[in-house]
Parts: sequence; C-alpha cells; structure tokens
Amino acid sequence: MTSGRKIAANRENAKKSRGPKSARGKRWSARNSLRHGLAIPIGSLPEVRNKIEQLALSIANANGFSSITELARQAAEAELDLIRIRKHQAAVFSRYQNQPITKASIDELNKSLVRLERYQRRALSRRNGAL
Amino acid sequence: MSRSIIKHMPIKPNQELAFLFDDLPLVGNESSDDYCGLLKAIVADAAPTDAIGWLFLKSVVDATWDIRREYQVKAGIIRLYQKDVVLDLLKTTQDDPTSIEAHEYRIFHATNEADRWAVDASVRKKVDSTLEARGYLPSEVLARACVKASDQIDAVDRRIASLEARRMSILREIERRKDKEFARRLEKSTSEVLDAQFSEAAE
Repeated sequence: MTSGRKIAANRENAKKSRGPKSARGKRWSARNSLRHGLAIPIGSLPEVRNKIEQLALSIANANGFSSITELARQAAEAELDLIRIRKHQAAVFSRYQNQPITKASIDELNKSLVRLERYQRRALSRRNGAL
Repeated sequence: MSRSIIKHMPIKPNQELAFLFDDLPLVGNESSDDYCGLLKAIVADAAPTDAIGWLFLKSVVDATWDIRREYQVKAGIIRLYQKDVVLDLLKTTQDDPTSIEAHEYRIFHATNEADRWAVDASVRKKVDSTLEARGYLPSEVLARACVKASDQIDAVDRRIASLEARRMSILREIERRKDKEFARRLEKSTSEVLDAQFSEAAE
C-alpha cells in the first residue's frame, strides 16, 4: 500500500510535468480521452476524404449537377458517418455475443447502444436534410 | 467483400458507390449470405436508379437487418429469464419443502436442472411436465420471464420502434422526392422480410 506521504510527493512532482516529450508519447496522450471517436468530424479524417468526394459527386450528379455541391458533400459526409457508426454498433454487438449472456451484459449492451443511437439519429437527419 | 456482393446483385450500383457495400457490419453468427440474400431481394424489387436511390435502399436494408438482429437479442433475453423463472419454480416443486431432500435439491440440483432445461429438449419436456403438474404452464413461465425482464425488453422494444420509425421516415423521404413508386416497392419488400421474421420468432 502506497503511503500518504508518497502519494502527496507524486502529486507534487506530477504538477511540475510539462507533458509527454516524445512524438510517441504525444500521440499516445492525444488519445487519452478518446472513447469511440464518433464526435470527430468525419471530413477531417484523411482516410475517407476520397470516398466523401466520390460519393458527393455521385449525389450531385443524381440531383442534376455536374460538380460537387455543398449539400452533396454534407450528405456524403453524413453517409460515411453512418457507416462508421454502424461499425461501432457491430463491435458493441460482437462484444455482447462473444460472452455468456447475463443480466449485466444485457445492461451494458443497452447502455452502449443508447449512446450510439444519438450519433446515428443526428447523422441520418443531417444526410436526409442535405439530400 | 463488396465485389462479391455486387457481382450477385440483379441491378448493380455504379463503381463509385461500390464501397458502400464494403465491410458488412455483421456480428456473431450472422451470415453474409443472409445479408446478401436480403439485399438482393430488395434490390430486385426496388430497382434503384441513381446514387440517392442506392443510399436510401441501403439505409432501409440496414434498418431491416438491425430490426431482425434486435428480435434475436430480445429472444435471447427472454430465454435467459425463462431459465431464471424455471429455476425459481423448480425450487417449489418438492412435496415436503422442509425435508433434507428438498433442501438438497434446492441447493445442488435445481440450478443444474434449469441449465439443462435451457439446452436439452428431453430435460425441457420432463421439467415442463413437472411444472405443469404444479399448475405452471409454459405460457405462465414465459409471462413471468417477460415481467422479470421488462426493463431490458423495453430497451430493445424502444430500439425496434426507433428503427421502424427510421425505416418509415426514409420511405417518406423517398416519397417526398416524388419517387412514390420506388418508396412503395421498398416498403413492400422490406415489410415482407420483417413479417417473415416475426412469424419465425412467434413460432
């Protein structure tokens, strides 16, 4: 058991810390408060940028435009967001199914899905509004 | 994944939309063949003609798939609580509840029997008849399980209702875009799938 004196000393030393110095440490601490990452705007993720452009152009074409419009881009971003949320949902369901079903696991599933549903509703409404 | 799914579709989306069907978010024992079967059937019925039609179609297919999944979750919850109810009732089936044998049964054997009731058809038959002799019909066991699990079942029912509402809102959105015929075809084909699922669950 750590003594009270030691805990106080650790806290004092921690106050002097100026955060991680190495690139790896900074990358690591940047993810400290990251839970599922669904609050990150999807348009800022480089790995989906091409898909957003591709889909936005198809949507614009379907609406009779020859180039991407702002609304088409918003709809495409929201659609990609929906795909991202569905992947998280699938992960939540997988965790649930990969363990014996208990009352605690059902509660956990219900809580996690309520959190995700909020993101899903917003993305869907953004997409339908933009379409 | 997308290539093989799209290859089997009766009507194919443009190359630029193929990625929408990448990485199907399937879980546990869900089979991609089942998802493809659902998708193919709905594509054949609804026949989308542009990117927006494909987006709406995919949303409706996904909502339909999620509703099926939620029904399975609900069935799992009911099974779990049914086992609990059977265990509680088995503990009351001893003729002389104060006897040593009755105590022994309640402590050592009832749980085992309830566990086997859940997985073994022959044990289920035997336990059901023991309970029936005490006036507890299988329908009562089911009703007690539903009451016990009501909070969790409510949560699943709310999600099913929300998915249904989402499915209907997409169909209304399609209608609003003056594509009533597409909305009607989509509504008909997905409703048929859900009706079939509901009948299976009821059986």
